[in-house]
Amino acid sequence: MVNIINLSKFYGNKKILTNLNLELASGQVAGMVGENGAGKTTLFKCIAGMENYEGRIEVKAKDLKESVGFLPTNPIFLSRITGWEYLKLLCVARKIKTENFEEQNIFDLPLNQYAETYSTGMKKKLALMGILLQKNEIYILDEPFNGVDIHSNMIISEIIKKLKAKQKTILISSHIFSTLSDCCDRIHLLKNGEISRMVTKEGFSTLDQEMQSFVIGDKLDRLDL
Amino acid sequence: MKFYFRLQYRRTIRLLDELGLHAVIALVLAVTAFLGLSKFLFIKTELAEWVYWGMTIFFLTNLGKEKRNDQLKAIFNKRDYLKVRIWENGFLLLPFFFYLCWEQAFILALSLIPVSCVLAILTNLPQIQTTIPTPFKKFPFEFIIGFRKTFWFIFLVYLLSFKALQVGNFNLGIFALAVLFFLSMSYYSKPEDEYYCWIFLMNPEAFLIKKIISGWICLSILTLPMFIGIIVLFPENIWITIAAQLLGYIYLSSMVLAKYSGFPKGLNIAHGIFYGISILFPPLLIIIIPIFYIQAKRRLVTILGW
Repeated sequence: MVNIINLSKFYGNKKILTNLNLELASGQVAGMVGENGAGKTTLFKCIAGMENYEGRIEVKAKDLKESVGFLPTNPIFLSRITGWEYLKLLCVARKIKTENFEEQNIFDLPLNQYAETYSTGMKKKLALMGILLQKNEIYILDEPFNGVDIHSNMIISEIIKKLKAKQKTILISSHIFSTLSDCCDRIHLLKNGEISRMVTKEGFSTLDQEMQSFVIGDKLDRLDL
Repeated sequence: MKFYFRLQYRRTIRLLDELGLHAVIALVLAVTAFLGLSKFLFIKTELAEWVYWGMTIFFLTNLGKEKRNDQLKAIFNKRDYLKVRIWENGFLLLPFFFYLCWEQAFILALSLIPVSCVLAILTNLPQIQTTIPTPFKKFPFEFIIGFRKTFWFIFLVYLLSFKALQVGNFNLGIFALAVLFFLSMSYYSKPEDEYYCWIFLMNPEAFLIKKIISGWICLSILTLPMFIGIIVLFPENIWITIAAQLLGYIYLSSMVLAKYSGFPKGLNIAHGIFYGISILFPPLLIIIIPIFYIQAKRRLVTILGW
């Protein structure tokens, strides 16, 4: 379980997150939606410990860093490193002594090729595979479905369900509402650096409709299509 | 097209600003380094003009790589793209051309002009797509990347050392060994993305020790055949060879610490100059290593979460 208490984040004078409170329970999948620039990625980075912040993050596990796997929106790969070597690095970093990556290659990635030459979706899958191999307790997945083909989307959804069944703590962001409503137990709406709303499964369709009317509204009329 | 070059100029100025360096000072430093290294090369070897010519072609080829040029092609029409490429190659060529003329290698200097034009016309120069195997597979990632970037150079250095052993030139052998040390150090010259540091579940001390020990193992793998060859063929100089190898480990360690002392940014200019002096005057390392160690630890505390 992760308990985020009064988390605030500033870049210089610019406020990104303000007194944010959030509870992520084990065996539950929490979704996070919000406009571009709402602060989702910053929040995820704070939870992962990649950014300094004000406030507290309490974890039930012995150490947050020890148990968190973070999938960035756009995973960055070192040049001239093969998929295999990337996975090895992630395992070495967590002192996991496995090299049996070919067998666990559920996405059929060309592990002997340089990771930088992978397509966007393949990169995402490789990065996801890396954090799965680390056997974390908490998964922070920033747009895991972005750029990934339909088959892999299905596999990722199944992976999330399996992680949930294993009582892992999962936080996901996505711009595709349908994927979130499939996977999540509750969805948080992040607006201007604050959680403005939280809805459970029963309220997903209402939230979707509200967001559509709020986001789209009559804006398209301005384009005169 | 003019705007493109103006943009390149602005980018350079911004980069220098980030490094805390005034453009004029940077220009003076660059010209001095270029002339100094060129002179050094021409003093050291009789084949310098050919090495120089080869280096120019290498740099020109790098400008013609597919990934880089795809963006240019997307921006410019065919004619302007060609003009941009010819101008770019011309700018790059200029210092090498003049230096070769200065050294009176006129034919080689003139030959660079048509070669640079041909290289500008040839688009999408093939890049090696195959994965180059390395002996460092289990020690990601600095030596793996470095080896793949410089395998051709390592091959040349080994050829040089082979020549040294063949003709019984101990100094040349040690020189080749030193080149490998400096090459290995260059693998640590650029800081990686913070993510690749954050993933480690270690405190800063353990992280730095791990990095240094991995570096030592990889350096040993890289230099061992050469080291053994020199020891076997020049047994009378065994202690000098061992001392050189040990110095290589110390230099590499200092480079690892230097890299993380400025992390996630690169080494700043002042540190860089100070470090450069210590390479020329090794006793300074006694002062520099602890300073870099303390700074590196401080830099890593936040990112490693300790």
